[in-house]
Amino acid sequence: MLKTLYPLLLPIEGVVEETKDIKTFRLPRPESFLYRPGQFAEVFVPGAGEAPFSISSSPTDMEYLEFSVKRLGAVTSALHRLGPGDFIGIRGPYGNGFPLEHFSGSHLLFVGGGIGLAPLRSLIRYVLHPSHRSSFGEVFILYGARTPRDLVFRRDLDALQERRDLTLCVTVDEGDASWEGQVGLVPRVLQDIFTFPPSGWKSIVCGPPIMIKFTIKALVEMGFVPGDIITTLEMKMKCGLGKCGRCNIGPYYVCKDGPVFSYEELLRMPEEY
Amino acid sequence: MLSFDRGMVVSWEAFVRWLGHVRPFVTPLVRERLRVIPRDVLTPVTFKTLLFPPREHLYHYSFRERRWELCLEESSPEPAFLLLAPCEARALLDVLDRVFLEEPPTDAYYRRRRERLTFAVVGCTFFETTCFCTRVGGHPLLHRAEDLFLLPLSSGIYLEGFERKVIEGRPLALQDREETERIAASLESQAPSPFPSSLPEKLYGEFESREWESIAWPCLNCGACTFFCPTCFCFDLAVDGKLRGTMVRTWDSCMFPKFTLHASSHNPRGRKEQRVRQRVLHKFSYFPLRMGAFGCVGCGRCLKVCPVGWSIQEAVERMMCCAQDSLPASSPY
Amino acid sequence: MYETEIRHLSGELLESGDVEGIVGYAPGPLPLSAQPFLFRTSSELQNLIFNSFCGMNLARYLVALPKSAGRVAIVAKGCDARAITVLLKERQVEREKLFIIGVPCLGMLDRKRLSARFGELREGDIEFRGEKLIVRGEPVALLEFLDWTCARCRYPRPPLFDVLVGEGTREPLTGGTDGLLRLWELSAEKRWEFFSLELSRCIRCYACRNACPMCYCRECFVELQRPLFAHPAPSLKDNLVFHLGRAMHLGGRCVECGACERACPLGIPVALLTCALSEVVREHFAFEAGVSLEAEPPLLVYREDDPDAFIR
Repeated sequence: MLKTLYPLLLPIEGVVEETKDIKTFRLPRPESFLYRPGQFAEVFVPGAGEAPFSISSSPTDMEYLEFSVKRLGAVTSALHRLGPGDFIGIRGPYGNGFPLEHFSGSHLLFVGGGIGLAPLRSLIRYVLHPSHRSSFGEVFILYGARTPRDLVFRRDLDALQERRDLTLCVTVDEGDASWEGQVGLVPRVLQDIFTFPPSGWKSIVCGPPIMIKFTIKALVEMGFVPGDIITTLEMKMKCGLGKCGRCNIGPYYVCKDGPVFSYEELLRMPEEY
Repeated sequence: MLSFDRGMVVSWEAFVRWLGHVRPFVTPLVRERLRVIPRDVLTPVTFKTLLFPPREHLYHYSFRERRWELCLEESSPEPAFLLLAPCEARALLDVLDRVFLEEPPTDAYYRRRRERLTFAVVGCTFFETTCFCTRVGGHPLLHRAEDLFLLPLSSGIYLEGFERKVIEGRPLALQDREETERIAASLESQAPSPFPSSLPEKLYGEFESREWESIAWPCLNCGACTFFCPTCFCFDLAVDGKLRGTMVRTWDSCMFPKFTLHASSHNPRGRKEQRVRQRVLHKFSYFPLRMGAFGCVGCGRCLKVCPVGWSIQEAVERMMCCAQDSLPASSPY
Repeated sequence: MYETEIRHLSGELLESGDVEGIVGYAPGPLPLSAQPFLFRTSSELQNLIFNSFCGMNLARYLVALPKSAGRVAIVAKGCDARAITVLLKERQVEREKLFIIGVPCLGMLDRKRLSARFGELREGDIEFRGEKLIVRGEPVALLEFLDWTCARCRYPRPPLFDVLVGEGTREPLTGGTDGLLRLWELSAEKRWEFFSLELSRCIRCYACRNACPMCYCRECFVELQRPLFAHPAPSLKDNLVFHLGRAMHLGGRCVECGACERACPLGIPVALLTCALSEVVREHFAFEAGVSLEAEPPLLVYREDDPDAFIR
């Protein structure tokens, strides 16, 4: 019982350099670690501190856990200096995760921006897994980043392009010489390419706060009802379990009542996030 | 609650002897109320220090022989007996216990200390200018039937729930009874009236009000109010040491500008009025809506320690006035 | 004590549109206490006060005013005006945006010490008859209840102002509560012991820092993670880093107003540290912060003829 805030040490098995400042860390998955897509864990970097990260692997990935981390501050910089064989601590899983029951039987529109694809990836891998695929309808994925160099999960994106049971569109705000794909901001591209009537669809959005705001606006204009727009929020967190009082939006704790919220819930909250 | 026949009256000398024998902790409030308390009786800065210290070691880490090792902080706190005021007892039972013990997961560090803590409630015979416990559901004589209870009288100190073998006393004389009645009546007549039960919703509806800016203006955004508040429990987790060190839990305050600062530099409460609004709404709106009790016990300590004399009671009253004039309250639920 | 004059002048300034607001004191929620206030209307000005409990240094609020704010007037005692001068030298405020209402000051009373002796104070308990302090009708020793920084203050008359509302000041009072004098008599080891004992009580609420007009850094050194100067949790080692570091950052800048010590909820004598350093600066650089708009602060200016006496 004393172990509430106590991490479990695990060795880093592999590191993928997604972009110049984003790395994905792969750890062996403890048998007792059961989680849902959209949940997060507090990662302890010994000597540097703790930080919360979404779990970007899916529970269907039995052997490993993955976290995708952008290098921004003290803890993430220390983490980026580590490699295979180095140990870090995990405690969790925390958070509410995505409402899978609500998605069951629906078509799913994923809209991701930048590192925001990380929690979505967990859900995408879950949905596309053979044991679950038939529980969901069509899958449409729109993913964007600032430049081609900022796109994450390139290998996953390439694999997704090959599949016939989903539609994938990747866009960048600014292209470069080698980029031949879509160019444009995610909310605008969304309105151009998603021409289906929204009934039967649920949308899951994640990205920088400003992108979430404009994407939700676009979705509402396209006819999505607030209850069918799901997003996952980021907040400064410390304990991850609803006690330290830091991550609240009004009476809701993002670490406990979230980080996944529907737009309908967001509308009841004060605009302070 | 206000019947005084279960107890006995003890002379001040016997009480002081008993203090020397039992060696309790005494909160600053109680020390002010009972001037007989000897100087060597320990007074924590605030009672919550005993349960939720400003520096709590959670676990230790060290890098030895090319491996990281973690070990829990196993030391047990000493058992403690505490004399505290009714408002502080409410803070303990209705807020801190609720957050750290009842809401899952139970905080094991708090629980370890809580299990070793016994307390007695020392009732108040008067309201200070800073007191407003009755506005938030408290009362200067409030205690549970099972609590040890004390009340200072002219002829000695009234004790309830204490065993005879622990301390000797005599039954209440007629003058003692009359005094308790006078005290109760005087408290009733002076008791500040309770806030309306619709206060949490009303305040929630005032989130966008422009009044917050002028309410917040004098605030220095230091942590004095938070650290002395018996109900405040916000904390930080910070490592102390590089290759060898400790994960430390320490007091934090929503008043500090960096409290909600993201690594990306985004700060949802980057402006002072947002932080001040958060403090007021958390105590009088969010916490009651979520947990069913105010996050404030009306003890007035925040006002006493505030360098600029900012009053949370005044802030609530100002916002209530605004709420009268505006649209019906909204609710997050 | 000049309250009427300040109110009158403030009213004129507001009405003429010369200023958008007046930074001054309003009555606090406790009897005989004051709260900093930004007066914007004539009706609000009815509440403007100035008494012996106006210890908060109002210059602290100047840096926080938004850039878009217009001209403001500020009620300034000697120490407040010194603080404004330092802010001007450090280019944190613009002179054209300020109207300084200079108020000569007889010193601020220590509320905690008064309450400890006389119990809860009520309106009308405190009176000044000339230079005598009367509490509930009885004369008491002023020196015993003045804040020690006020007792030794040598600049009760604001060195900078647009209008000075009066001329009444007094000489510094010596002896009694001047802990600084006693401090200098101690050996270095004893001083270290004294400060270690006091600073071990600190709970890092930062009331001292936030009350100080000179501490206007957006990000205080003690809040940094890289590098980590002090761990956020209170402990002697980290508290020493904070307080000694802050004192050093105030070297040659502290105006000895005592707002830090007044703000401390635990009564830790933090002003002893900063005022002691001010004395050192006075001795070695013949400089006092905020006393003259022309004098160059020694730590902000490079002089070719600097004796560099500290280099051995």
